[in-house]
Amino acid sequence: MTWNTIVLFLFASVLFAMSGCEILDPDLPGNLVQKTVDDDPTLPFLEINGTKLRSETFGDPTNPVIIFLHGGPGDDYESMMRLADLEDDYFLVFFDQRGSGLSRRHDPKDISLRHLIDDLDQIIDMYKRDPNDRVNLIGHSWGAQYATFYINDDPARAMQKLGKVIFSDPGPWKDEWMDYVVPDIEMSLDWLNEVIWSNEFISPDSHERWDYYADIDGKNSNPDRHTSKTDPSPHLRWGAVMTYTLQNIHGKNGWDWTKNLNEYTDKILFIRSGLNEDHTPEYFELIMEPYPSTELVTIEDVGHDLCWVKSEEYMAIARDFLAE
Amino acid sequence: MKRIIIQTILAVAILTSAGIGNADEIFNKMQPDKKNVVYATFGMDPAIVTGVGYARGFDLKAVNRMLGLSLDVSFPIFAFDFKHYKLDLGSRIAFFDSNWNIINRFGILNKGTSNAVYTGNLVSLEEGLLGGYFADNWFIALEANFEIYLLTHMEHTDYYREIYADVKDGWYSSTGGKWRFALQGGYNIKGIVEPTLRVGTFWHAEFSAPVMTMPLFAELAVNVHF
Repeated sequence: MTWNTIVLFLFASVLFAMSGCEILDPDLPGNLVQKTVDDDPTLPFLEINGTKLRSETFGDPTNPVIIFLHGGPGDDYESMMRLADLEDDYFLVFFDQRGSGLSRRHDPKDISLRHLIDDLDQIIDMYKRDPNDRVNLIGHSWGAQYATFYINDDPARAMQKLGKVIFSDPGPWKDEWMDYVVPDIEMSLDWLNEVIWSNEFISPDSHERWDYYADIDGKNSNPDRHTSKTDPSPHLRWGAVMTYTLQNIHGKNGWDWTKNLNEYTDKILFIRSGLNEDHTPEYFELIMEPYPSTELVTIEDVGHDLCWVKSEEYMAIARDFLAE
Repeated sequence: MKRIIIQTILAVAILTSAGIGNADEIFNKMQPDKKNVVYATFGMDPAIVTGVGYARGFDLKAVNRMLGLSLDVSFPIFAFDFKHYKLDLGSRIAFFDSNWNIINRFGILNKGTSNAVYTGNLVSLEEGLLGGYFADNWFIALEANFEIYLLTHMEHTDYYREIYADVKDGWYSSTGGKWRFALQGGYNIKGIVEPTLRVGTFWHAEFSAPVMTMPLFAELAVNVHF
């Protein structure tokens, strides 16, 4: 039996073994990751500013409005959904931000702070009850950064359009504060093996594949934030291009969104997660300082997923502040 | 069980196929009595990786060339375990019979991984060219090759099914590929021991950057001829 015959036999065996198998397309929507609003017509959405965002509302539209800004950048609003119990007194607006969660995917050229600022401004205008209404914001982590660069962009507009603003575990307003919240280098070596080795299997050359890849990265990163292992917050899909594009822009140029914050004189409530080793009291002193009027409350025994794990306590604190 | 059968068939098929290896590139300069090579590799590719391999030269009298076949296995070692691996079966043959030469490299690779999202097994094909100067006991050359991730079997974890319950397990067509461009050099000491160094850059198939790592790789190999 010649080598040629053996090789042909073995390749035939491979083909035979696979003959009953369907070959799947990694880029077909729904195979590896959830479909976005562009691929799943059953998802609720709103359309503004050249984009389509997955969105849900709860409560009576005649009640005061709260708009929720989720973390990431690139995540979705599922981890904030336990706060939907606020619907008894408020009209709640949840949305996956541009290029995030199950919202429409965009190329990097259609992702910028200007796009995000205009998106939020148009959503505020869409839901305020009358021209003089002021909309409340709850921003968590990256969501608080989002609100801050919206405020910094035009504080007078923010004073006019925003009511009460609540930030929980915010990311930094300046790149020089990133050292506080960047994960320690002593991260799990197993995780490092897995994430880097995955370059050998998947090329992030499509939204589907890159978003899928991002979940390999997401599970074990940031151990210092002590998120719950027994009650993990849900998450549907990462918007990897959104995450990468914003990191790329600001990684090269740095950022500082504090220049005009002193003109926003309404009080902002900051909520801190007590177990979080990144968002320390010292860090909160830094990020609260640019705003003239602030209050800090700490929820103990919880990590960065406080909106989910301690939602009752979070809502109680929020209700008290919103009612002031 | 089905997965084990598929893996066994793939592994055996690879062992009898041509592929890429990391052994020395001076096959054409081999001594007639030293056509066997064992080698060890260490480098960043893309994780910190170490491996071992065996290569042998075969005279192809019909074309007056030496065909090198090699087989090696490597593992990333941030956390050393066998769930991540790369089996690499290679062939190389020179185009010309001169010191300035171009060597063609072709291979089949089998890789395994297991992470938070899926357990995967991939078959890929790699084709490359190595062009440079190959003296009797040293060489320097430029390398360019492309690897296509041909088929990947993916089984998803409970963790990922909590995120997306309808994810599909099975064989996926090309999940991507990789370009490599490198500079290689090596020196053969007394015809027996030969360290080689390979330094370069790699990019995904559509020239997107690698994730969570620099687009660089480097590999040091020590080859022993016998």
